Amino acid sequence: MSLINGGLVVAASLWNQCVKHLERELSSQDFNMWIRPLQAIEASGCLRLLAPNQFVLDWVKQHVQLRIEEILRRCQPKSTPSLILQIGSRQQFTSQSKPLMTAVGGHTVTTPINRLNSQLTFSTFILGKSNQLARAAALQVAEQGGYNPLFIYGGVGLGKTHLMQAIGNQIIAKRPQAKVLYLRSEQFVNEMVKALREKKINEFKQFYRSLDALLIDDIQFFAHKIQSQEELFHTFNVLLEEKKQIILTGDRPPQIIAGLEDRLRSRFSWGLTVNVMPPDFETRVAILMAKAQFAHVHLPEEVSQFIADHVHSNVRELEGALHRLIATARFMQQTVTLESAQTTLQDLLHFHSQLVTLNGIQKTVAEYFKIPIADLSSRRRHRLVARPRQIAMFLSKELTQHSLPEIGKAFGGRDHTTVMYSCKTIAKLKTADHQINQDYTNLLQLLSA
Amino acid sequence: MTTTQLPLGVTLHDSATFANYVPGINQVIYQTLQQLIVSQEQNYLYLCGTEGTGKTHLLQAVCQQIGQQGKTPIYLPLRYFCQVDVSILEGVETRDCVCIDDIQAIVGLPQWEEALFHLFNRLKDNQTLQIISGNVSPQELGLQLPDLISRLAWGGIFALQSLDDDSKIQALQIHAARRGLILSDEVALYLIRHCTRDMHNLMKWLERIDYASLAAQRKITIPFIRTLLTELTDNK
Repeated sequence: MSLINGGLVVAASLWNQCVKHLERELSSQDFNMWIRPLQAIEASGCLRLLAPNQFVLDWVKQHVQLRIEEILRRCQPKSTPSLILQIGSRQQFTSQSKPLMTAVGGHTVTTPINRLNSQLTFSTFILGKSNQLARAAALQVAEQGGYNPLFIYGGVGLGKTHLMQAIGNQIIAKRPQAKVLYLRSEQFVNEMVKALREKKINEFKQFYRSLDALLIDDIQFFAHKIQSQEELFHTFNVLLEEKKQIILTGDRPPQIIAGLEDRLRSRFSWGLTVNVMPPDFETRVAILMAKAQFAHVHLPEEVSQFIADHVHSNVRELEGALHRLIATARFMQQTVTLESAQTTLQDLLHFHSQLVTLNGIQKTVAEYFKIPIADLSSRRRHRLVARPRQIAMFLSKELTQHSLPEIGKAFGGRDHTTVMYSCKTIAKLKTADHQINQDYTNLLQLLSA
Repeated sequence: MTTTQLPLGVTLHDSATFANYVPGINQVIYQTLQQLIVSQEQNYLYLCGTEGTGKTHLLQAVCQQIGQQGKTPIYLPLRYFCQVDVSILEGVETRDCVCIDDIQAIVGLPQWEEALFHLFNRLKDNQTLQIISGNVSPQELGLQLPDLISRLAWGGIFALQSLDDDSKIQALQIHAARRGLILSDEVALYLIRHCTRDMHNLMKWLERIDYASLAAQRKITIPFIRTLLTELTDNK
């Protein structure tokens, strides 16, 4: 909904007035889906609305174009601007987004866009047993070359991209004029498709073949893209012949990546293939301490050990847990402590308990008290049965969203007032009777597991 | 046969904002989201919660807040789009914020999983704020693409809990007031005791009550609601 006029932001415009009308007339969902993403440009008697894609454009044309034109006529009856709907973005109109290849005087020159994240360097990479070989190989490639191509593989979130970009950044640090390019497979494919569509495939080839180092991330996404594989193959050959560096990453060794041509697989294995393994405990602790320091948060070692003990799989999940912890600490205006970490990470356990069903509760309660599940729905009033039944009803109200009549029905067709009575009884007993409270807590933990 | 007067389609659209969200036990998420919009220290987080815990409301509130700043967010409910092709995701990285709702709707659809993975990367490159919601945590969704699962867990997983009864009553009364209805404590409590208690369902009831009270020209009382509940339940 933002608005630009020849590159300048204009306040309280015609489009803003349209937006106010549409916000009142459309549902919140439709408004957020179709109207908010529109970017407007008002210039020389026309209102140009830019949609992010064909899908949004079609909807706007079909459902609100006439209404927008009507509002425009009403707001500005004398000189109603014409309405132009098209796909596009603000960036295209304000400043031309920098293309990878820039045509100057008919010749293609490269711009120094290497797409590297300058923070991903060897100094910010945490070394551990799981990644020391890969790091040593990467450092050697960055300093002296030698392995070509270098293929780094491993599971998700283990630092492949970090290592790859560290090589790129190191090459540039040593040789600022070096033409280095980092990109993901998808970007290579998209740019090739664009070059074909715009009949600029020769520029595309020339550009890629002029690089000093080409870094392609997640090579497995080239699978089944035949034409892109063909182009990559030729680029690969040219760069290797000219002794230019190629670095690739993938989720598995090149020999077993499905959907790739054999000749590509074999070329990917020509140089050195190194593996990155999941970080061990000490490395996980070190990663957390480094990330906390980067975020200017004091993280006691016992807390990082607690997180590292609970999150094993990958670095992204470690970071996610840390972000969650920092957010909670900021909100509570407290420092991060072991206790706050335990509470925060247990939130997810509580969340899991909400996924239980009435059946699940009945089964767990019956097993816990060692009574037949049918007793929970029976008419028996003996305390050995009645108390577990009341606890089960209380848990059903706490953990599910069923109505009280629905809960009553599930427990042998009882009235909702019986459910209310049971809940009140257990709520009272929980504070007065230690055993009941213990049973309730145990059951809650069982249901959260 | 009695005829019921049909009301005109003048009921208000109940827009989702931070102001009309009752956070209850979910204060941390409520505050974190608002801080995120202001500080932009972090570009991504994941919300999970069962149906009716307010995920959709919060995502739309984020869009509303960002829209108010003159920026262009987009709300993408995947339950709505999963039946069609992935082209709705094209170009959205050029907007100021992307809120993706109900990611569970695309589980097991390889084309969607890959398209979302690529979108995630593009948004991260552009440092565009993105908030994604699902009914369970990323690891439990059952996604086939590990690259996507690990990225979804990157910003921290925030679990929304169901509101307690008092907060539900408060939320119902706020939304009723926005519709011009007066919902007494007794009536709200009656609804909570007799209907399925997730907020999604309760809000649907509120809409039905709004419509029925307008049609019948009656105040909202317990006898009125009781009749309505019986009628609508019998008609099912």
